[in-house]
Amino acid sequence: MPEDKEQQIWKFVSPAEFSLPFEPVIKKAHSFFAFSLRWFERPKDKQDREISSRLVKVPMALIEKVVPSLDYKVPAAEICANLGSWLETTVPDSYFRVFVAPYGGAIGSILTVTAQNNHFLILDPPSYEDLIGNNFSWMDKLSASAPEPIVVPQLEKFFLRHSNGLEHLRRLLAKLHQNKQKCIFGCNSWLWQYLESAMQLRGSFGRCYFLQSMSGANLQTLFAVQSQHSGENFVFSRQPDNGAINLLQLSASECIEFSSSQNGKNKENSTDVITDFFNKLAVDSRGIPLVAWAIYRSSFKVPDEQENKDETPKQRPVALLERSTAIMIPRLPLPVTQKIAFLLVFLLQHDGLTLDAIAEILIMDKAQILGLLGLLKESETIFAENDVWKINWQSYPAVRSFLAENDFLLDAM
Amino acid sequence: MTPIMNDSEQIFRELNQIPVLYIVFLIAFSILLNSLTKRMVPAFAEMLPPGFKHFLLPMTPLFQLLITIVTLLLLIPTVVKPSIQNFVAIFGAVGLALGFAFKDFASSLIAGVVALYEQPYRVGDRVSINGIYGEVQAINLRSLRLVTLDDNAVTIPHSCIWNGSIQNANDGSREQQCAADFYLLPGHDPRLVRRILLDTALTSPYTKLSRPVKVGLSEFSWGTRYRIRAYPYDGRDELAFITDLTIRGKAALITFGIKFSAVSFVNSAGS
Repeated sequence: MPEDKEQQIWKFVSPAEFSLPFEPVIKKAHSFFAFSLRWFERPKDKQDREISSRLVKVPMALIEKVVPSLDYKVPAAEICANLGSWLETTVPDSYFRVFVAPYGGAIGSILTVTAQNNHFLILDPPSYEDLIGNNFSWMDKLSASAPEPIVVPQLEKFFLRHSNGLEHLRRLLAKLHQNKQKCIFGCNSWLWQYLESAMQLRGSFGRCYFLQSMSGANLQTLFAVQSQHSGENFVFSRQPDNGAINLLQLSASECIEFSSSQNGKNKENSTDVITDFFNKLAVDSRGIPLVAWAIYRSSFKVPDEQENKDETPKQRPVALLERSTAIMIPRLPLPVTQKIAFLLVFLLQHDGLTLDAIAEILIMDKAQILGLLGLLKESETIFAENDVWKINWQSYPAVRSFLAENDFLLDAM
Repeated sequence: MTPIMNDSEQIFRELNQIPVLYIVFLIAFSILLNSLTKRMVPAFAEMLPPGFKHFLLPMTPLFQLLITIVTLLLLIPTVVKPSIQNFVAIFGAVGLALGFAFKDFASSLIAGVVALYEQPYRVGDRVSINGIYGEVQAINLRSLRLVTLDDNAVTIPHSCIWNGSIQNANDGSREQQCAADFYLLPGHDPRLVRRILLDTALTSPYTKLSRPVKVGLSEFSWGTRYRIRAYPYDGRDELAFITDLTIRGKAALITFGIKFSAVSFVNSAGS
């Protein structure tokens, strides 16, 4: 059953068991030499490259069918399985449980589904005005202890990196402790690292679980299951790592056969053909579901309609994955200044901020901030959703890499 | 007279044996190489990650010293007949003359070599010498060059290390502790103020959270002085960091109605 397969890929583990996907050394060396020797490409490689350049991005309507949004029923059930007897007992070892996921780990959505499925109460976050104005009246609704656990899907919404903002989190924890109220928290890894290193609140949270990163095989299974849910009959085919493309001549079924033959694999075992792409995707995305999902969606190409007069894409749509060596990840705009680094860290810790909040907590002019936001938006590093500026999932690897190189890395995962 | 003239001929080569062009070329090449080293090494260091930059920058004077020594070793045999007695005689006389004439210069020169070994300061360090605070931009053979916070370049001879004290804020590392002071009138809750200022430091984007953040207070007759001690990511942001802490701290304290001291003179015992 697809659900059984999917259940195996959503894992919540202790921090000590958490690991990242890695690329074997031989693959890294191969990629390095392939890049170095690209000036000595064969005529066939050049022809393939020219053909590849005539492929265009898949329209969004097609992408929505090929790679639909992720469903969180399975990870929500996995969370309940992890909580186990803690949900039943009246005197637990600790009243809190925390689930930490990296940026793009969708822990907020997962916990929301968990709460909805189990009829747990979701705690509404305070408004920005409450946080900045030292108004703690939003905690009045926590007056009595409820038998069912309270769920805080996103701890970032209860946090503001401002001298007036930190006290809200401290008082929330103190009140929940005082009421002996069970609570399930969801937190992104950037805020978790801040809570540990700056506020030293780690000890207040009890047991902590990390969302295990997904391997290439896990991502392959996840997207295959999701596309089956969409009900569309698409055929995917992957260009081998050497970039060989034969789109215009082959039909859809022949694409799979072609791809299998290029790798010398048994065509019946065609899942092995696309493993290399997903392994690379897992490494590039650090095994983070939404980051991998965003990069995966942008990796599809179709032939330009004008080139292909004989095919009828509407009858038999074929979407090809980009070569694993050509996975495109947006880069940060140059030059990247210290102010941009500060802005990116704060956006990650808060999982998005409005313009007013950015101006208040970074103490910068709005005009200057708008300039930085415009620069980052132009390079597709950030986007605005309901006036809240967030980092693009697809850009997260580049952002994280930049912050790590400049000693601004504040990530627990 | 003749025996003396014979002695000098024995020490120095004949004029027609001295390769003048070679000497001129060697000196010019040495000067060019020194100049290139002084420019290229810092430029190359700027391209490296911050950790490597602070390792490479202090090597600049070492490279220059090496170039100078090699040049002298190549030059001397072209002028002096290579025999032990000649070299001993020459260097002895030169040393005596120079010792008297350039006593202080020599002192600074030797202090510079000692400073390379002991490293009381390195290029990139922020030091206070004789009351002058600034970042060490260059360490030359005789002196070091500081650039103060007012962007003034100050040249200080190395001989200052013999008798004076040198305060080094970062001692070769990228980070340094910074302090921001707040002077408050009496009649406030110190626990509240301490919590506010601690949160101020924890929420500044400049604060390096892996280093300790502390708030200390001292009581005076005119009020209380609170001091935030924290580390920015880069010690070069010292001024920006202290400014950021001061702005945030004052804004936060004002929202709680806490009054600031207006004392215009603070004696040295209370500072």
